[in-house]
Amino acid sequence: MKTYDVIVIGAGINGLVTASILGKKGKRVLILESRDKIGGIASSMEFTPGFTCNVVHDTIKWIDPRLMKILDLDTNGLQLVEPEILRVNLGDNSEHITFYRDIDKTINSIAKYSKKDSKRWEDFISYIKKLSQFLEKLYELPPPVLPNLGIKEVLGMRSLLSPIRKHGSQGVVDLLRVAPMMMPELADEWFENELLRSCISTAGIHHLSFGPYAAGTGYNLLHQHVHSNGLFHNIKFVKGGIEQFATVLKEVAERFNVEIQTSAKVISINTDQNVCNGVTLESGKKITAKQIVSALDPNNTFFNLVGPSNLTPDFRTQINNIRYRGSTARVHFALNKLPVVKGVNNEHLKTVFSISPSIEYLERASDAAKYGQIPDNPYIEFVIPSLLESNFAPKDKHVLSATIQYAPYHLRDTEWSDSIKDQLKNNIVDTLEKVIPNIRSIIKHTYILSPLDLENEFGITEGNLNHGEMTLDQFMFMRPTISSSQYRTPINNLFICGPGTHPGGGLHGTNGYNAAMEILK
Amino acid sequence: MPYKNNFTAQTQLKLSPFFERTSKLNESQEWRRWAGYLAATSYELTHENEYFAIRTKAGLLDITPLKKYIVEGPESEKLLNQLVTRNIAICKVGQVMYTPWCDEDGKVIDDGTIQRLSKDKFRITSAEPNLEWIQSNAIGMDVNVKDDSFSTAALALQGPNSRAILNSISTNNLDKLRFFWMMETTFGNIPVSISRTGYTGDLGYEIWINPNDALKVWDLLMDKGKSFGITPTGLHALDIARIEAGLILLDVDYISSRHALIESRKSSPYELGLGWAVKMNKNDFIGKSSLQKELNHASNWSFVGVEIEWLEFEKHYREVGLAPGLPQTAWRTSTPLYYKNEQIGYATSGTWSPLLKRYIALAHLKSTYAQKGSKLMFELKVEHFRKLTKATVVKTPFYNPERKRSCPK
Repeated sequence: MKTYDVIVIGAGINGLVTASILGKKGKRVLILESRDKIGGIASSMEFTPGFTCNVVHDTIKWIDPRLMKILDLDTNGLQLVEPEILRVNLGDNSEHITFYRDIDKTINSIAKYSKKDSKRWEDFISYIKKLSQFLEKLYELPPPVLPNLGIKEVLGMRSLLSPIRKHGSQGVVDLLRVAPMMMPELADEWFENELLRSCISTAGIHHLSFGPYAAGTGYNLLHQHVHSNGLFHNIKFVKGGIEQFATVLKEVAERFNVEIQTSAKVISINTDQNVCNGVTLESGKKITAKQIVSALDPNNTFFNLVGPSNLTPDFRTQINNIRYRGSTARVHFALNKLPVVKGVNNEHLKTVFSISPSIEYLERASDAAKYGQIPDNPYIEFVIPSLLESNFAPKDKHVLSATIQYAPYHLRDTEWSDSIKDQLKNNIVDTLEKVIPNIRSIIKHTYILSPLDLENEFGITEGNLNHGEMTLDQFMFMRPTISSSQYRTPINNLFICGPGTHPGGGLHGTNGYNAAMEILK
Repeated sequence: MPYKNNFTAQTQLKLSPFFERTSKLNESQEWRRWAGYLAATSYELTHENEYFAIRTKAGLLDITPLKKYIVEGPESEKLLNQLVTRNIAICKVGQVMYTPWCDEDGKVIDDGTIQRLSKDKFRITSAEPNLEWIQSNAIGMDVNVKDDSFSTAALALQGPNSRAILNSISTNNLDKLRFFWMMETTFGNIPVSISRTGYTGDLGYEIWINPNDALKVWDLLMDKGKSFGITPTGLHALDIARIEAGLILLDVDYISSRHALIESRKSSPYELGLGWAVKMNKNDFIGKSSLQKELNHASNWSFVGVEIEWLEFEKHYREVGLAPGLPQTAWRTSTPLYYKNEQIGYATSGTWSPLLKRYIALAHLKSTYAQKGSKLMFELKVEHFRKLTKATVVKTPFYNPERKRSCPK
């Protein structure tokens, strides 16, 4: 029988990252993935014959540069496409602001609506850049062990000083002001035009269950702009589709002798006297290893796999208190022809569109979620991936993939069903119709994933794509809990590396990188 | 069957199913709150007769206000073994164990008894509500935890005549029922569970019944017990008896770690004299690793019995022209204890023992001063002025009659 140093549970981005780094350092690693393919939420699928979609994520906001380096992802075949247009925010009556890689073009686009705002744009993005640089440093470190912070930990955090040296202590003050802010307050300090204000706000509500008027949306906005180099709404596409990111990581991992088993569902992490010694698969097979790393969310890792009776009461309470509340749905349309976006040149469609005429529009969409309902006018971000990947759809046909907020996991007095999904679909199409007038007539097939579907498909608790809401009370040393925020857990030899750990969600791989470094300590 | 109260009284407090009887017997109409119930302080104008009933005849106490929980299911033993410090795996069916239970830091949350009703069914009693704690620790286990507080009524019959009274009523003889064991029997056609347990340190029993049978059981006991001197007994008498027996009381002798505002208010079982109830050789239980550390380093605090020396005590009063000012009832005021001029602890409850004719107290002492025979100074207020008077650390229980544990030959 083969023996392993480490078993990694889950072959999503972070699981693959951790496994690859450990493999590179000479560990004998086995990855166990319950689905029949790797990638987790970074995967694609043929949702109807001839039409393929990126199931959850169409774009990447940022990738940890340390990861690119240590795994040499550039030369190992990861091709990132940096589009000229980063985002088009659509308002009413064909009004829209376009965010370009070229800042001057963005300024011109804003100037059409407000000269004053256009003049402030450069200052604003350097302000956001400055603040997110603090997070960049913070994200590279495991959070401090609290409440007993020792001199060793403090010394280990000295790299945090570099942005302070660069920007002065005012930078820290600004960070502490902006992170707990709500979007309208931040917007008030900078801009007057509502279309611009609401487009900025969309960055603060990404995959949250609440709207722009919630405190702490400032932090979420900054999180989206880590390593964005002063580009607001920065995005990257992965050549070949999002799954290619996972595929490249898999190839790297295999080069380091990491063994990957798919369709290998772990049903328990086995512990004895608080020491973890292996896993049991659904098939009944037991596999032992010196260390176990879970890339699953805390609820799955600790409640479903370790089991609540193996947790201490305090830790169990902490795990139980983590908020998930997935509120994002995904919908994929197979289209008979290229959609026409009102007011937008057909050459400018290889980007992300958002439908956000005002901050109030976003807030009202979130109101529905607050009361366990689906919104009449949801907030929609969409991409036409078939324009980037020609093999995603037959010739002259297209795929439109949309991310929908807010579709709450917990519905009031009812549960997700086909009829609720139909209702949501109708609301989506009604909303899209305002910006793509012919949408209804060109839809060939619709595939919708509610938060419940996301939970069932990917095993993510309550369909939360970030493995726990990205809020300040679930940030840094509180992610996932105060006693497990260093990628270690109260159970000896059990580690965690998923987005439920510091610094949270997104396909950036920082969690997996930091976890690997902790395991190697 | 949950008990449905048919009586009314001008109170927001709960009324026990025995209230129909106790309310009429309570001549003093002295009541106090006990776990949200109205409980008799003393039935007569003073508690002395009731105290002597416990020690010389039989005192009958309504202990329904105790919190009671039923834990049932294949993993109930596993759950309880994780929850409490004693080894429940060796608790046989029909046996009862007294045990504290701790938080993760090894600080006591509450203490009570665990009755093993069958292989997979237990009843836990406690001073304070513990349902949420037990249930939250049962998450993911194949057990059912339910509140039995309103579905079981309970009486304590305590004193040297208690066995004879029960034998005159019970279908099954109690002579062979050992200390901290229980049995099922009937009073006529009424099913009752009787445990040989109590809070007096004397021969005594606790009777667990369906609340709907409460009045019938009370009447039977009072009727058959009459010739044995059965006496309805209130909490004042009980308090003296439990101090004589060296038994601790939550919120008096220690503070539950759940309510302690600061760390220093919490106590480990070792610091409460309950080290004997901590079984370090069993599997993981809540607080084990912290308790192991404490065991390796020795506890800072000890819980001891203290006797206030009579002659000097009397002298303090004589100096101001008074007869010795003995406490009328057991007291519960934290009272400083000194070694020379340094305060090294505090007594949490004390009483004049009418039987032993000794002034006794239960106290927390810094461990270095806690060995038996240590001479301390006890703070006394004599005619508004503070005095220090001699006291000695002594062994508990202060009173421990052989009949508490023995069975008839």
